[in-house]
Amino acid sequence: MEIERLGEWLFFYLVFPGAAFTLALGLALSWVDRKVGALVQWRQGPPPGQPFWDVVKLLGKEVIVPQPAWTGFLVLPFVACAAALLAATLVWHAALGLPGGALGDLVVVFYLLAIPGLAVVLGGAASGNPLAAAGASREMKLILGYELPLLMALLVPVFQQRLVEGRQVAAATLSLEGLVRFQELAGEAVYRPSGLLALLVALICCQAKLGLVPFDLAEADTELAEGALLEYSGPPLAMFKLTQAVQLATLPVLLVTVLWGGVERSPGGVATFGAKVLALVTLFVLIRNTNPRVRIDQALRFFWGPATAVAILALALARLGW
Amino acid sequence: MSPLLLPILLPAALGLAALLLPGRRHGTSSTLAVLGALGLLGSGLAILDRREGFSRPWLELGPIEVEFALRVDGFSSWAVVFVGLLTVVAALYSAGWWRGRGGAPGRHAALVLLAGAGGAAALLADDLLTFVLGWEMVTLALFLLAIAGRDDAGAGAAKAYTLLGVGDLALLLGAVVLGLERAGAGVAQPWSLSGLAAAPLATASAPTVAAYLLLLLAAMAKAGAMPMHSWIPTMSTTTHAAVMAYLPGSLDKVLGIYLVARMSVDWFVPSTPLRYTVMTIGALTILCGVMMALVQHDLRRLLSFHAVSQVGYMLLGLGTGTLVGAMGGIFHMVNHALYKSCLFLGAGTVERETGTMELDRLGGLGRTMPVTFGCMFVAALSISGVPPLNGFASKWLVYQGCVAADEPAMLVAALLGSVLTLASFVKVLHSVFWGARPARLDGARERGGVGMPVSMLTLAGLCLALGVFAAWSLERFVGPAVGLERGAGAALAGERSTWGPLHGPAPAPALELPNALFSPVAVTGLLVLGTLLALGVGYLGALRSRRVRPAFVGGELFDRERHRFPGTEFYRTVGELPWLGRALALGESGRLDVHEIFRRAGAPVVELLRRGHSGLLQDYVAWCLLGTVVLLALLFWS
Repeated sequence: MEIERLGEWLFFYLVFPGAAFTLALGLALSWVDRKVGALVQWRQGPPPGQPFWDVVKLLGKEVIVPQPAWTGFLVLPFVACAAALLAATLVWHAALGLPGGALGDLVVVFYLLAIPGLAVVLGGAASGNPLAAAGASREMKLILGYELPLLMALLVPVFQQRLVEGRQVAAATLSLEGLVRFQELAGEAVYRPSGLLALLVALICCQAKLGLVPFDLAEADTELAEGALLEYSGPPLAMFKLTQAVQLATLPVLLVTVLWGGVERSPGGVATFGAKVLALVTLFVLIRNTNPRVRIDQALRFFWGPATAVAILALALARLGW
Repeated sequence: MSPLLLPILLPAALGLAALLLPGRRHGTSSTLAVLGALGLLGSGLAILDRREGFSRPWLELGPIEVEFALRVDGFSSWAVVFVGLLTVVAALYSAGWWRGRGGAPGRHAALVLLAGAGGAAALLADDLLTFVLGWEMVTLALFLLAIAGRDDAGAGAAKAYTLLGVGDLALLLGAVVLGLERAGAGVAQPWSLSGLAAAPLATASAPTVAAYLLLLLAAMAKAGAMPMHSWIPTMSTTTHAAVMAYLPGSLDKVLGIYLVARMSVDWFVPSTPLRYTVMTIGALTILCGVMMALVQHDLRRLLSFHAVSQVGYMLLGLGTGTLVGAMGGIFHMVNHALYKSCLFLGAGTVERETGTMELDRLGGLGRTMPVTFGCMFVAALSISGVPPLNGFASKWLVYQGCVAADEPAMLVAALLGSVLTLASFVKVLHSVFWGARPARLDGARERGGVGMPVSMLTLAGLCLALGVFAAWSLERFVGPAVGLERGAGAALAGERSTWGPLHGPAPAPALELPNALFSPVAVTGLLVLGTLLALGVGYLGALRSRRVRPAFVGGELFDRERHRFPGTEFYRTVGELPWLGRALALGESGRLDVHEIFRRAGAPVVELLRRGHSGLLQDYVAWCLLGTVVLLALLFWS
């Protein structure tokens, strides 16, 4: 990156579409999550500002460090938040077609999005509490489970053969900008059978990545008392909560961007994009509120079994031009 | 004397001195080892970026005229410098390790230097048979180092020597087939490697394909690709950690992948089926290796399976036949040597202090062994390909190679391998450094002087530096290896010209789309900045005042001996999955091991030969006479 781009990217990262914007959006979406959840259960639900005030309150609470923990225990939540925000910046940057050249592609975003999960695992393992370690082990197995089908689903738009100007071609690039541009030329990936299957698989995988029911095994209040997050308190816990909010505002955007097209530069385009993202978030919330928690071996079997099979099918169909 | 001889003669001479010096004290031999290694590094730096040759006729065997020929180019000079660096690290670490222990440090020092000299000879060789010679020196040094480990090291060393011996035999055969084929085609210097590089062979005829496959087999045995890998895990449990780090961990990989890189870039134009062979071996090695690692209980065995698995990325990258993939494969070879040495050395330090490598019996060492922990942490993130470390940069290039070659299945295998590696190292970090520390390990500290921490810190620092400044590394030493004297760093910026095929012109892209890119400096910078800002927010909140309290479970302080969650429990679920679990159990039983399969198949023959060994002198004399008669008969016949 040249030095003149630095100012531009600092703005992207810290203000829009990065930290300030994504945090606000994430907290708003987590309010949507809580409100819809409440409505499903015939409750009133919180006021819109509640997630924000929760975080502010946590930031002011005392930090209690378990004795066997290591310094990284306290730093990891902050790294997780920074990484999730950077991923959000890159995804939004591509979706909106902002200037300034990209900093990373689909793989980079994928890895940045893996850092929060990894931080939860490492933090839980480092806390020295056996229950947290059990939670960390579950989280890691869950990551193992969902990453395979999620990867394949996200690769569908890269290898999907489409008709452009009378020729069968695939995007054949991992660049997010490239995928958005390709869908402008060839039509959105999701409107083909392979793309639709990919979206379905990716949706379920993201449910697990967000740690929502039925895949909330790592926190599992009733079994592990918050699991990997058990020993966290105060600002580090607030950072993990913020990270979850950021992920809630990033994963649906990523799915929409690579499978359902970027943002068109018009009020209608922005509204359509917003509606697509909101539709996915609503789906997350509905699945979350209508399912019981699964066991870890069931989750692994599901992700490595049917989910992977469907993802392979999607990838094969994509190669055939379906 | 030609400067090309120095990287071979200097370490060899000092190694000999270490072996022969009467004062077999630890200090003298360690100093000689470090000096010899520095000599190798220094003489490597002296020939950096030079282009020259050296040759001396050697002997004539019928149609085969053997020359002792050396030549240095961009790739080999960097590779020699790198081997020098690895040798310095190994020597430094060993200096600390032998402090206050019995054993034979002089012999150890001599063999490490012999391996370094052999490696340099193979890398600088400009003649097929010189290459074989250097390669064989490394095998010999490995065997002698492995057998000197513990009392029970014999079996592992013998297995290593057998499998490597098969590889070396394949190398020799391949070299002879290749040389004779070229001699038959009327090439002036059929054994010269620079001659071969000047006109790469199309793998069209049967002898060329045979030569390619034989050389590939040799490289696979050396680097430890499946199915020729099984010597690494077997010897790992009984061999000195510094030896594991230096030979199977780094030098053997460098040589094996150097050979594959030369084959696929310079010597041959591999046909599509051959490329697919290499890619498939790569992808299977990645996945099977890492799955086996996931269920290991012994830290060194676990690290060995990862050493196997990572070779898959290098083969996969080179097998894609694209510039970007090949660069990724070669860059990964460098990165692997760095982080894997660091991991093996860290494991060695842990073993030196605790006396065990059983993950069940370790735990909570992060506070008492902070340097080891920090270095292994960085190396573990690097091998798992977490940005911005060096492992990510090279794997990223391999992924792009898979896309450029239009191989979704290979790409999925490579990406999945990374995730599994990460999972495996989470288990390692948890079981060694976190969790509750058994009371038995309370006295474990980092002892052994500065040599050990300095060597590990060097490696971990390089992991970080090569990751953040990946563009520089590509430009400087990976580019020349694939024939790009300039502009290789642009591969990270998605420059299309660096994404074409290795051989032949690049096809025009179907669509003008933005290409994938990765900007490590910017990503790292923003990540660090974001973390610092977030920490600032934390400090504005209540992060300033922290209270340290003991952890408790169920309202009670827990007993750290009884209430542990050992890392070995982490992936028990995976081992219990229906058919995957069974496959893993089969792998662990050793029934899929090539060595084991051939041992069983060959057992009748061995038994027959064994019967001939009666131990009676007259029997052996009779055998000798019989042999002489057969030889004479053959001579008269012709």
